[in-house]
Amino acid sequence: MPATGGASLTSSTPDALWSAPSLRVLRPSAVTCTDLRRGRELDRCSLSVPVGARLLVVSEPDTTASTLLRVLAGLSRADRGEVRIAGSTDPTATGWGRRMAYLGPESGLHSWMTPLEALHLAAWLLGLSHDERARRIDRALRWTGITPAMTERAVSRGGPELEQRTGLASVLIAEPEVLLLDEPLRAIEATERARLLRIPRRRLTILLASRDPASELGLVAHVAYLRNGRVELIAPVGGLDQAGLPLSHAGIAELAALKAAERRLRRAVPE
Amino acid sequence: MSQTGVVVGLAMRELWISFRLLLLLTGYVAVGAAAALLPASLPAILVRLAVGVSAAMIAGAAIAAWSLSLDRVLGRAGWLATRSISRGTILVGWFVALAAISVPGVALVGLLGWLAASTAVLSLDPVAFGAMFGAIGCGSLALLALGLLLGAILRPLAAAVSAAVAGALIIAAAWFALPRVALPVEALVQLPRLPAPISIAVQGGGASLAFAACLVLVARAALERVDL
Repeated sequence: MPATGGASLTSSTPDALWSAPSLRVLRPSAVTCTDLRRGRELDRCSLSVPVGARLLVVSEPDTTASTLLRVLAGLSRADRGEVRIAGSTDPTATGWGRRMAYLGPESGLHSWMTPLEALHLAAWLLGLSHDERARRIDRALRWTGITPAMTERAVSRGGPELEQRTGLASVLIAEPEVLLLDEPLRAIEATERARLLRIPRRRLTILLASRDPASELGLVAHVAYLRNGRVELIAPVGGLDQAGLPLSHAGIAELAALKAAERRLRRAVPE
Repeated sequence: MSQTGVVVGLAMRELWISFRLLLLLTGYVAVGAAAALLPASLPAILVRLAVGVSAAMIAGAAIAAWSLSLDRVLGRAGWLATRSISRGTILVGWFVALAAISVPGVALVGLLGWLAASTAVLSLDPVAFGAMFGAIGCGSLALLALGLLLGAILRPLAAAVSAAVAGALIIAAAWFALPRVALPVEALVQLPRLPAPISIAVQGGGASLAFAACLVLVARAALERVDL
């Protein structure tokens, strides 16, 4: 996984590309951002995430990771730079609009909506057939543990837990290829939260922004560290273990410092 | 149903459940009822109608600003945007929903106002009176658009307060500082004395619609840039 943008395997027909067995081995890029700039938060931030990766995004300051995900989701605008998701730079429904889904700290649902209303609306906006809609809603409800008794209750009456479960269900209905999770499901108990976020789809790419990396143990395979608006480190989570560092903000920052020192040393010592 | 229809439906239901729809409609009904039920001379009725409908329109602008801003801040607009509903559609949806309350509200004030004015000693041309209220309805759309513009860029409270202040300033400036400008609410007060009331109403209505269209375009450009 390259730390900076650049070479990324993309295509104008990503489905065809991804289904080709030979290219599946090469793992085309699911998310690529190049030279993103936004105020003081993002400064020539480049990142390329292969299909199927589960990447934890941690940052200094904390808000940068959320900003990056919001820019990728199209909720915040970058001053400059390019975002390419699933091989397309077009954020509309005909581009990557329906291949990507975002779940933030707030569900974004109207408090008077019932889970069933929210899911039917989300499914309708996807343009699904009646049968497909019913199938996906049923599957999302089962995964998120929303019982039939809860489906007819306004999300405000079910508390923040029901609201966040419904938010996740409305995201899963889209069966996205890229899932952007920004501090998701914090109202839900840790074990149940981990179960909900362990979404079993091989081609699903997940970017998870978190201020509490330790709580994401087992959910991600790689970690990205952003400092001063730039990607400073992308490493497997196992790299922390090898360095004897914990999966924490400080541990990730220390690993980034170690890797930077290694790079400096390699440059300083002639081969 | 179109995507705009979905946003209109959500906006209407949100307005209904949060009592903002009721508040706005009550404002218009109260203005009309005050004119219809309190006996007065025709000039006094017209002044009462003009001031009251202006206040209700300003309240409409504040509600529009508050509503769109709240939708942004609570992530509801973002929920729609990440489901491939364009920001322009979200704005137009809110505009249509608010207009669907304001325009009948103005019409209701006009009807109650006519009932009060037609019983007064002086007679009024019903066509001119109707045309003037049509122009006022167009003016209410302009103030809604102003509210949406401010709601697109400011936080809810700031947006609502600034929309109310800006709306009041626009009406007051056009009414008092620019006496030759045919502001529909100002023209309503002078209706019995106007030489060509229908032409003034059409002129005022057209100018209001043009102003509303410009503000919606600016609001759309602003909404494209802000965080959802």
